Amino acid sequence: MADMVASTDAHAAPPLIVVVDDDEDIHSVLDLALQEAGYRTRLLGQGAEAAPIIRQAQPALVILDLWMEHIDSGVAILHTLHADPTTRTIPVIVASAHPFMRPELADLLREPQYVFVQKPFPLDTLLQTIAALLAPTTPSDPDRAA
Amino acid sequence: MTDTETAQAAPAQPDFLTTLERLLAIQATAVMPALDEESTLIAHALCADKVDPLLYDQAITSLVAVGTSTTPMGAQQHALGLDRLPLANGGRAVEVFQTGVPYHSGQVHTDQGELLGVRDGLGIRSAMAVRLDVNGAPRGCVQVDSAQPNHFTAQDLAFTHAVTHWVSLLLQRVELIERQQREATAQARQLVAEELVTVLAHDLGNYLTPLLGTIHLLARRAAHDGRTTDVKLADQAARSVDRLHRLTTDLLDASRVEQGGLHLRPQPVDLADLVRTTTDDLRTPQTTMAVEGPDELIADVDPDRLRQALENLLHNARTHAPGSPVVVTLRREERDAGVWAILRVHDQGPGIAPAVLDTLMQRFVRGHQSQGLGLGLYLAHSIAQAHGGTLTVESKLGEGTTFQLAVPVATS
Repeated sequence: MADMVASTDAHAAPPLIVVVDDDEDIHSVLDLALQEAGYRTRLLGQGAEAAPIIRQAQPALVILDLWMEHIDSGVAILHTLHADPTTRTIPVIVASAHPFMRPELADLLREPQYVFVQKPFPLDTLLQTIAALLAPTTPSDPDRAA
Repeated sequence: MTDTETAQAAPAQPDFLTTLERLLAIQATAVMPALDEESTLIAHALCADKVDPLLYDQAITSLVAVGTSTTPMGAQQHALGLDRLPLANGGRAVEVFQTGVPYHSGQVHTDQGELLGVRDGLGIRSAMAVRLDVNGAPRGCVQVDSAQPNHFTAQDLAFTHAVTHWVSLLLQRVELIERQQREATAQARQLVAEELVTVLAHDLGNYLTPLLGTIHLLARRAAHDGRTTDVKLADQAARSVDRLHRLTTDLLDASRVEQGGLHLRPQPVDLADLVRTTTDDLRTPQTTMAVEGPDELIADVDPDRLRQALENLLHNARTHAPGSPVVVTLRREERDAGVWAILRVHDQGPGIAPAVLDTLMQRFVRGHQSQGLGLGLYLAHSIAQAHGGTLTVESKLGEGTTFQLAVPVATS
């Protein structure tokens, strides 16, 4: 298995990923996995504090749980990030074990920078999704041409 | 009053209108109290010794008195066991129930067609009986008795008809209320159950996330260090977690089907691509899976649900026909009602016994090699139905099994 290379530029700081989830076990495994894949991490356990911290930290990507203090804590955060021009373009992976997709969430998930991942997810799937969201958007994909 | 032989009863008649008003005031919330109250009121209005609404009880093929008036004759009837009239024993009440022709006599003690126990045991001399129909179907009869001969008039019979009709409406209303209450209770229970299953599925998914993540992390590290046995062990653990997750989602989906069907999110989907990618994911070194069909077949379907249905069919083939090659074919079919997509999953396994075929798609039906709850085919069938399609199966012992999932692509 090839190691993940998060950044091609050896001098740039590794991309920062903010994980918003109230489950400490999920924090610790994602922390390890993301760091081993070459990312920096910041772990947030409270939905309420997430949006201002994300605005201030300007991470490369956010992994967002939906059901935290309230059933729709994550939806509220995503709304706030989407409404704010300084955070709108930050890619977000919405990860939830909740089986029902709320209609307003489905609308938000039409934005290309937002991706839904059903929990539990294979680690490889998560890392591939992160890599795809962080990949530069303009260059042509040589694999596609084959 | 036209009947001269019953004229003597006239002075004792209370006001029918007042009785009707009281009858209509009975609160129809439960059958038994309402009928008891109604019987006592009628007994009073007709100066009768006993009034019985008798309902047919199919389990014991008898008419059963369900609201006997609280009169001495009523108590005696109960003591003699005459509050149950088996159809086989005959008698006037049974005759009225079976023929619908009303009975009216002032000389019951000489009526050979009446039961001996009714004639002599209760000492009934006058009687009227009218069939009770509810929603057009015979349900029993209302019988009014007196120990006095020639007691009831034709007007009394007309009144009994009217009251019986009212009893019929009362029963209809009460049964409707009782059914609504039962349904409301069942619905409330279902909602609670659905919420429980949803929360459980969510929490289990959350618990499984770090577990699966840790296993994958260990597998990555093992792979990095070249520890192939550990990679295998980790993969095995990950598969177990995956099975546990499938089990919970299947339970949730089955519960949703029971709640009134799966909610679909249809969108234009390339079925050919969906079939290829799903089959690629399910293929194992032990089970080869070939895909045959067009390069593209666009249909307006729920991709997640159709993928789930195909996954279940492929899982089924893998489990019950281990080592047998599986062939998945997809084709378009022109039917009278429009264009359909036909998806077939064929295996060359041992086949399914004819006795099992009929129940195969019911809930919790599992083969002896099943690892799940027996919901996979049930859900695949439900998904096909939710799309307005079908899931059918053909199987021959020793030759193999073919599942065919057909869904409309477009209507003409």
